[in-house]
Amino acid sequence: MEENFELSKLSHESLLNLYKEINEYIDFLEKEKREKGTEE
Amino acid sequence: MNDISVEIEKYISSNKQILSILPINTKKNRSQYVKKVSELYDAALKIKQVILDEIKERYDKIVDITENPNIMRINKNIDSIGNIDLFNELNTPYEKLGLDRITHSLHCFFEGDFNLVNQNIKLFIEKFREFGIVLTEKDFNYSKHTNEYIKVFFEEMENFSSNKLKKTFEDIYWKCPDIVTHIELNLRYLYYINSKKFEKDLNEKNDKVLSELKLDKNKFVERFFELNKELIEIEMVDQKRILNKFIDGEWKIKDFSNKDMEVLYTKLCTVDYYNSSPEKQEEIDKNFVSLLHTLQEYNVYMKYKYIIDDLKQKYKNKEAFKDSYEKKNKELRKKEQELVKENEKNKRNIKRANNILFILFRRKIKHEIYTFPVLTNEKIKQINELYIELDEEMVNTRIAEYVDENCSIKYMFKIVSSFYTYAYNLIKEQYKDDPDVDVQKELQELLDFINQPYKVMLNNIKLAEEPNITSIISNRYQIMNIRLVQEDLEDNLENFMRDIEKIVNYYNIRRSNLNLDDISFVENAKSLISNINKE
Repeated sequence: MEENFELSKLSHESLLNLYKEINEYIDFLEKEKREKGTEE
Repeated sequence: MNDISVEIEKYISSNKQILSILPINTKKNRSQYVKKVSELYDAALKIKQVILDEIKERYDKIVDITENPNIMRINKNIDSIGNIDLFNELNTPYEKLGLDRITHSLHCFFEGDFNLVNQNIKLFIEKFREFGIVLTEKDFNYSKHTNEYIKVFFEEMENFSSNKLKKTFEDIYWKCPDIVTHIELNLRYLYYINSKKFEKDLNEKNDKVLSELKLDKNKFVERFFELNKELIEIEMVDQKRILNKFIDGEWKIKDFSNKDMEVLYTKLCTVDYYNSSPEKQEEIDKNFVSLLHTLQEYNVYMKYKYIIDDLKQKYKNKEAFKDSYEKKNKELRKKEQELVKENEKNKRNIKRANNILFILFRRKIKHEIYTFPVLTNEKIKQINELYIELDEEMVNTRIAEYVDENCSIKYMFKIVSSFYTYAYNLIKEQYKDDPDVDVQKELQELLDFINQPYKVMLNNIKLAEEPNITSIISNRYQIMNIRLVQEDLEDNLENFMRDIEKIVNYYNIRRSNLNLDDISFVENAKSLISNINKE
């Protein structure tokens, strides 16, 4: 995924939803890293 | 949904898909899995930062609004007019300069603290200095203890936390628990003996203000309220002020949703607001603004009606008040003169006690010195009572002078607000069984109401009338397309006012030309932004 994507056309609501979504995804990745990283 | 939203959603779901098919059955597999997760994690953080940057940019752009410059201009004009209390025909300089509030605070010193006592004494001394009267310890001879304390007070005037001052107060307090009352009465006495100068100087100052503004007193007061009205009307629709209410959490955007507002307009309008012309809608909204002012007047009237009732009761006896102030004043001044003479005699006694020429009288003199504090304290207690009665007589005498049957309720409220101690005592008495009520806050609410410019209804109700106010209000606004019944005012006033206030706020938000989507965005993004700013 390119990092210079265009956000300016998003409505305020969509932008905040997107923020929420990426945060949830980050939480998921953190959890995966934590759980699988400690399994013997 | 916008393309980029879809794209990111797809990106997340495909990454999750990739992770789901990666083997994790061996330690090596799990290590590779974690490595992949870490790569995706770093990429996700970068995406998050891009989104946050966009949020911050939008937020900053929306909140970057300046206050309407007219607010500062009008405030400057109001400041240049100065304090209209200085022109209150009901008051002497003692009240006009706020000296009554200072001595009142000393009178109730047990409600404050040691620091407040000292601040009040200092404030009083400074007010005198503003009028060219420099007080020194020699002016504080009401009692021996007053002089003892004030001597140290002048030494430590710039440092109220000084141990010397605290210790002096403590030592005196146990010998004379009325020390603060002695100081209070000494200050009142000092005002009395300088009152002519205060009157003369204040009149000259006031004349100068009026001549510079080229206004007479009535026009001056009128101008003050006009400016305040202008200020309130600009502030109500000021974008920065409105946005700050949402940022501070005082208002919530969900309370102004289209659906909620439609329900409210349908409930409170006798015509179909949403199918009315823009002109008609504007007219209805203005009627709601007017109703809100009327309700605020009515609310204050009902809340403080007991004070008006007390004034009405006094008014019934007004004939008895014609010379009551003068009589009380004479009685008080006579007692004060006696006190002054006794204090002088005591000073002489102290000098003579060790003077060989008075050896034959030494025993008698020493006995007089010994009994003096108790006798003098008794006299000061009597004087204190007379001052309390004198304050009451001041209100009575003003009623006798200024009130007749045609006097408006608005003017009656002005009388109340002109005499701080009188209003304070009535409020305190009203809530004597409710210790949670903050009397000063209640009084301040009343004073704020008196100083605001919207008092149309109360200006038109005369003292002699006993009108059915709820009926007058409901009839008035029903013909202005507002659904309002007397019960709304009698049993449901708080909720009804809240509804009207919401409509008025909504009207002001729309008039400010702020975008509701922008407000909602700011409200939702503010915690994110505050976290970014903390980092």
